[in-house]
Amino acid sequence: MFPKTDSPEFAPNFLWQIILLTVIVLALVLFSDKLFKSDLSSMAVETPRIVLFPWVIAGGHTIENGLLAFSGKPADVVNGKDQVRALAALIVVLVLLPTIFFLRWRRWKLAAEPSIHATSWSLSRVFYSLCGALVIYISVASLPMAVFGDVIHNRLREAQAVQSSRDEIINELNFMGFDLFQYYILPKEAGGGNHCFDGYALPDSASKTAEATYVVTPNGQTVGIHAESIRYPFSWVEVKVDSLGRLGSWTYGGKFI
Amino acid sequence: METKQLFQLRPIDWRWFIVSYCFLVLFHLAPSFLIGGSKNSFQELVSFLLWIGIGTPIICAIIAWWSRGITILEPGLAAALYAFTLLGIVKPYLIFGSGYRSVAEQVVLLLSMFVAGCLGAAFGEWIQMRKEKKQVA
Repeated sequence: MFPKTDSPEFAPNFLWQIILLTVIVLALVLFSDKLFKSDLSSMAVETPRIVLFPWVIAGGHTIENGLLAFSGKPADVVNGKDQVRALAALIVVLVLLPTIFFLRWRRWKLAAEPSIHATSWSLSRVFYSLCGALVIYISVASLPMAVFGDVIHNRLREAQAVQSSRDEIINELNFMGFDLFQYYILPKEAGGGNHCFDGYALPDSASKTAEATYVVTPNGQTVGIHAESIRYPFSWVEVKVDSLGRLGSWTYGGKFI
Repeated sequence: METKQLFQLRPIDWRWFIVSYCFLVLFHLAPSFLIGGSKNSFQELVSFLLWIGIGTPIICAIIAWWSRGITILEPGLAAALYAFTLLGIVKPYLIFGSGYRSVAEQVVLLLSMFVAGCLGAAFGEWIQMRKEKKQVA
């Protein structure tokens, strides 16, 4: 009736076996939450129970330790169960699956008739194909993961460096605020401004630091300070200092936004 | 002549339809589950669409290439059924909106998956034909 399948394209009972296997896989996926309920429900980052990527387990623990450190708690030691899980995943991903796949591939290549249609479909053939599929998926997924991981790591470092530079400039501006207030309250005889910012000039050591160059614009009862970053060109911070030495009206430009 | 055969009407081979569906579950869902470790990894619309939109036609192409003769409609139908199954597994209410719009979107998705599956399978058949031609030559 069906010329495509009347020939032994499928091994005896193959259909029933593969349907059963599919039902098992579907049930596993559907009820995975209940079957593999995490015993670490208190953890903020829950790593899946079944996972072939050991670095997913490691990543989960790193984030968890980061969160613990953030809340002032000591880092959690990886328990034996998770160590075994990671080791098992490594053995399966890097040893077992490639070995089965390549040995089978070699046998297929050495066969007298290396045609894909020469043999009928059986459960063992599905198993070998599944091993091959997993090897290919993991290889294909690993490269972008490594590349994007590196890119994200560099971006994070860059963002942290920009933030530190901005914090350093803000710190220097705060010291300038103290100096300006001191100038404001001192009488002219003591080198101050006598309740006026006019005539204030930044000392040479303060007008240019490792982080930024500063320009002060006195305007009677207020002073505007413009800090131009040296490390990140076209990035700047502007602030106004009032007669009480308070810094306000902060504005940021370039990478400092 | 062989190109015309692709579009010949013939009864659907239900055995290959079942096998195609099983292969989609085994070679697409199972590896994703084993690698990602969670059925909730694809709850965002873009990642869900990329996952099934790219993966399913590739598996359908491989099925068509693996099967003897011409197998195009079977993987297409299996792809639609597979997408329907995935919608049930990956909690569609987190992906799509609610109400009639959600139903319409899901119907469009199933039809798209049928077309994508058929296109993938047609590509697989084309590869198979090329290989057979080469072997004959």
